[in-house]
Amino acid sequence: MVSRALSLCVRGALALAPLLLSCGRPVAPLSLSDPRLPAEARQGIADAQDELVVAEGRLADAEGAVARAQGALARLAAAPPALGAALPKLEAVEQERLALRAAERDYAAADLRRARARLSLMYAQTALRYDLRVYALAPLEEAAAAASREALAARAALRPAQARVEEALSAWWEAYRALGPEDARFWEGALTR
Amino acid sequence: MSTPRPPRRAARALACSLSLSCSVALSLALSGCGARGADALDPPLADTLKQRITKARNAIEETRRAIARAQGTPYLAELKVRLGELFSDEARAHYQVARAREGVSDRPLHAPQVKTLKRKSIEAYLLALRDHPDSPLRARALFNMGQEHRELGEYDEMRAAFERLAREAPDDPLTSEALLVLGGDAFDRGRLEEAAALLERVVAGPPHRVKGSAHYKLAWVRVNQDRCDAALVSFEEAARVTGAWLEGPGREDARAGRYAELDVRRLALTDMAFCYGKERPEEGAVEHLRALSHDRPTFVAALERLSRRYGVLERLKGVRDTSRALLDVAPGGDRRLEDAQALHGALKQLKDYSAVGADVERLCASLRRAATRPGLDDAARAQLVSEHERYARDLAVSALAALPAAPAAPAAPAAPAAPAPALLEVARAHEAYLNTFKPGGFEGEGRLDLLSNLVEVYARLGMDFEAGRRAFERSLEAQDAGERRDDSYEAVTRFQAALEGGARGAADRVVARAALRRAAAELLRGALSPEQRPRVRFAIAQSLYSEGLLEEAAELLTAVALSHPGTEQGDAAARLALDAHQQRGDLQGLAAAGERLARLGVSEALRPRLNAVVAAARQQQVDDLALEAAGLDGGDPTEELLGFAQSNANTPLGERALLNAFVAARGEADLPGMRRVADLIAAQYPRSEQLVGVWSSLARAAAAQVDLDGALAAFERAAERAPAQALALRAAAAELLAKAGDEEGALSALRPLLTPEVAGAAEGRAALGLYAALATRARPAESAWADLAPFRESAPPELSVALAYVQVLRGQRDEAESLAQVAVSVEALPAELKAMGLYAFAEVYGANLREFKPASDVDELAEWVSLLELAEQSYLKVARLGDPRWGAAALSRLAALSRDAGALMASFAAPPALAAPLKARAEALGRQAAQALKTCEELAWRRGLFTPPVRECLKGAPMASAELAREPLAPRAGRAGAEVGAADRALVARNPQDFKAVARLGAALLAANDPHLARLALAQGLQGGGPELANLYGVSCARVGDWSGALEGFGKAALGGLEAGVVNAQKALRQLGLSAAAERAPKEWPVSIQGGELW
Repeated sequence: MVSRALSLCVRGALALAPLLLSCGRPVAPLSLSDPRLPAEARQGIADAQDELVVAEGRLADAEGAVARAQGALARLAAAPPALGAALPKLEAVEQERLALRAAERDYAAADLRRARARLSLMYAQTALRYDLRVYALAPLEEAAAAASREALAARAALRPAQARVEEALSAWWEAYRALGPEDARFWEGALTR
Repeated sequence: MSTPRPPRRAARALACSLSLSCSVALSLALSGCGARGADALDPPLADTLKQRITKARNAIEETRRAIARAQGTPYLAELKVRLGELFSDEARAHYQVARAREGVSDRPLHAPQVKTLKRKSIEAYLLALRDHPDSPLRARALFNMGQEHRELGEYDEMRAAFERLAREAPDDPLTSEALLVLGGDAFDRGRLEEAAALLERVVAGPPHRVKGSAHYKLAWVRVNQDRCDAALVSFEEAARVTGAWLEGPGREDARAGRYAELDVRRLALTDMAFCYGKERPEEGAVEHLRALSHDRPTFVAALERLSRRYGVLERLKGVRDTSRALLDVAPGGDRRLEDAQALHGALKQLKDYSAVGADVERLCASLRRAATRPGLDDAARAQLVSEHERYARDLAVSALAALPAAPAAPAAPAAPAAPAPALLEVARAHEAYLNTFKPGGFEGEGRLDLLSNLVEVYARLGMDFEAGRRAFERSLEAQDAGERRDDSYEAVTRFQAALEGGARGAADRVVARAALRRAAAELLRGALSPEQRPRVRFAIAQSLYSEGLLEEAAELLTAVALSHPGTEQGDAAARLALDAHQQRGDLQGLAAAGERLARLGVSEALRPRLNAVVAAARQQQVDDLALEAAGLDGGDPTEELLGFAQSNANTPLGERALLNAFVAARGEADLPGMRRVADLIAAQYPRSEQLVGVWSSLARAAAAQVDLDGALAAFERAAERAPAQALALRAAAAELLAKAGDEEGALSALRPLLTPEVAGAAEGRAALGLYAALATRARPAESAWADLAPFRESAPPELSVALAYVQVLRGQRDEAESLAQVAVSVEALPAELKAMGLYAFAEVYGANLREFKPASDVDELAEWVSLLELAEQSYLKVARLGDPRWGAAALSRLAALSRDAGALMASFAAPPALAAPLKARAEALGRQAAQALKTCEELAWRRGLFTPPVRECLKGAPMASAELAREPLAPRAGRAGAEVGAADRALVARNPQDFKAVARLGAALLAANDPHLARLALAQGLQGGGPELANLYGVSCARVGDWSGALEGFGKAALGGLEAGVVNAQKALRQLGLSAAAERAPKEWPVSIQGGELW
């Protein structure tokens, strides 16, 4: 009788083990073709996955933009046109542009993290809702909220960066206009920059 | 033609040589008997040919023996004829030996055996003819004999034999051959008519393998007779008939290569050139020859001959056409240069450039074939290239020169312009030249000129891309720096036009942009004229724009706009720069760029448009900002917009941003946010036209969130801001006050606003209606009359019904009846006022009935009954409206009326006949009174309505007078701050059906000791909020002295089965002196839900 009770306990523990173990593990992705999921659940997952893909694409675009901005700055440094006092203004524009692109990249990266956190949360919520797995949602929700806050903060940093670019552009174009006939020097290297 | 016949002198020489060789041979044979002498022939060929001789001799010997044995047999004739043929075969073999030994030369052959054997052959034939005159082989014998004579040069004998054949066997196939020989013989002797007659006999005959030859020979007869037309027909027939024979009956012979000499097709077509060039038109000549030719070599040979003939005759069109055909189909060779030369000459003389493109292509293709022949030395190749280049270039340039000149300005309708097909041909010619004579290909000294020409031609055709491409090409090849720059500029302008024109493939656009920028870069390195500079710069910038490099394009376009203000390019650049920002969705950049351009300088004509674009962008920026923020997780549109407004303080944009922020906050039901933004707008934009709307919107939002003080303050601020709207705004505030229970306060607020003038307007009417309703509810009749009477003149319906009620209370029934007509005639009255008006009507009838004491007269009784029924129906009409106050009052008053009328009726001294009916009617009235009272009571138990009339009914007695009891509420003492239940206020504002939030808010306000606000808040959830909420409502009403409300709340809660509802209702009923109702309550409202808030 004791052994029988023991075996029952063992069997019960084994049955409970997956549930207990999954609470603290990383969230397992769910497949869109999982037959256990109804259509609306799959739609939600698909939307969250799409969001992630879009965010990844945007980050790639942003990194490309940073690289291009770095290249433009490097080319300007390597072959600066003879613009006299106007040259620093042009350099300032490129630097501010680079800063803006970096800020945009940071925002894209933060947005990607947000999308990832949301996707994980979506997986966990769906698994829980349809009795597939058990997760502790609170940490995931907090993580998603934190990622959203971070993304918003990164986004908020864009406007001042853009404002600085516009400021630099205004200064540059004023200086350009003051060049008068000497503006040909700007054009000489315009196509290679 | 026939085999050349040896002259007689040559025959004698032959005889001599034969004798000599016989002697030599004999001496050699005698001297070297048994010894094998050296032979002049190569051993293998000599052996083969000698073997043929041996074979022939053996055959002859055997045939002789056979003849000897065959006497009298039917085949004897054949053997004899065969013998003759064998002699001929041996003669042929000896001839071949002699030919092989001496080679091909003009010297007569030394072969005496030949003649001997031929003589023997002739003798054999003669013998056969003599011995067998009727043999069917006669024709063969005669023909062979004639051939032998012919080969011996014995032409008279030949003619005799053939003529005999023709005479004796006219239908024999060999006769045709004989006639052919005779015809040729006659031709050779110059006897043309005779030749023609003979040949015509052949051509007229049945199909025969020599018929084509006969036609051919006849054609030559005709040529010599100077009858070219007939000759042409014969030549054509020669080709056709021969072809038909070789492809039909003679197919096997053709395959075996037999009778090759009979194939006169090529000869016919080549020989007909002489007459064709003279007699036939040039048009269609090439096609005619092509149709007659059975293969390409024949066609080419015929073309060559005809082409030369045309050249001799100077028939230039023919030269042109045949030269073209030769260049197309003939194999490469030296003669092609002649053809090229001929074509060039003909085209130049004819000035025919209609197909110059194809012609130059033809010349170039011919050159490629000719110049790549193996074995061609460098000098010859160089000459070929040089000649072809000269011809091709000359044709292309001449064709261009032959075109009408391009108009200097856009063509006037009368100015002739070169048609597009002609221009296209010229372009094609130039293209062919340039694609052939180019670096890496053949040398062409005219390349630069033709490139210039081609640019011009493409420009005239409007083919800017092609023009640009060639101009760019020229810029790379030109040696002169000035020319390079001119070409580069031309390339830039052309490519720019091509890109603007659109409708090119993606690859062409890539090429155009790259070439444009490269050419432009070249130009930028040098000096540009003032006209060129803006164009080139704009072209560069525009190319980036068209490629989608919008950021780069915007930079350069801005540079163009600032460097060249007021020019066509400068203005266009400014517009495009802004458009580049627009396409990127960079509204901030667009607005900043627009403002910058306006500040730093654009043309005055452009400035208004620029400003409009900037303004639109700024506005859109504000809208997009809110939109974007609303879509973000945790995004706060209000804060975003406030930040934007701060960045654009004291600008219309900043104002717009604040307004949008206000709207965003309103959307979120963020009342503190709305207040904050409203204060900002008022502070920063005190003259804003939107402020009135902001305050009134804030007031309504505050009212929805039960922020009474906030709402009243906002209404007041709005009213101060807009005196024109003050009446409506303050009326709204007064209504709010009344809802909060401060009816006196509402009346005091409204009274100063109402003047007789105002009362006539729509807004004044609404305010007056509110005032009238409040006055009748809150004040005694005389006071209400004093309030309302000044507006009697032209009173609106809302006031009329109130005055009607007041006059009823004041006993002024006539005026009351007159005023109450409105309730009947005007449909669009609020339900409560309509009920009030109808109630006044009913009271008038009731009062009239009470005053009318009928005598025992039947008529008066009847009239009294009519009045009674009128009054009953009037009350019932009010009751049917369902208004909780007036309906209950009507029932109560109906009960009173019925009771009194019943009692009166019972006391009537009616005539005996009416006694019983009257008695019955009186009893019915008594029952009606009880029923009406009961119905009134049931309003409490079934609907939870405990208005004063209902409470009177619950006491068991109807209302003694028409006046409804007033229920002034206790003054508001506690004032819960806006922070009490703030979250639930927002929830309720967003969703009034969120009953949980309503309940929480009500409980919070009660806990904050502001039952007035709690009552307002909980009233929203009374319908559908459930028994707990209704109970809370009851509690809040009880605390402010609104007994109707309290009992309504408790009653609904009790109806829902809530225990606290029943208990609270009992308590309230007892407090109101309705103990019996209190006792009845648990029976009417069984409890099913335990608990609830107890009052």
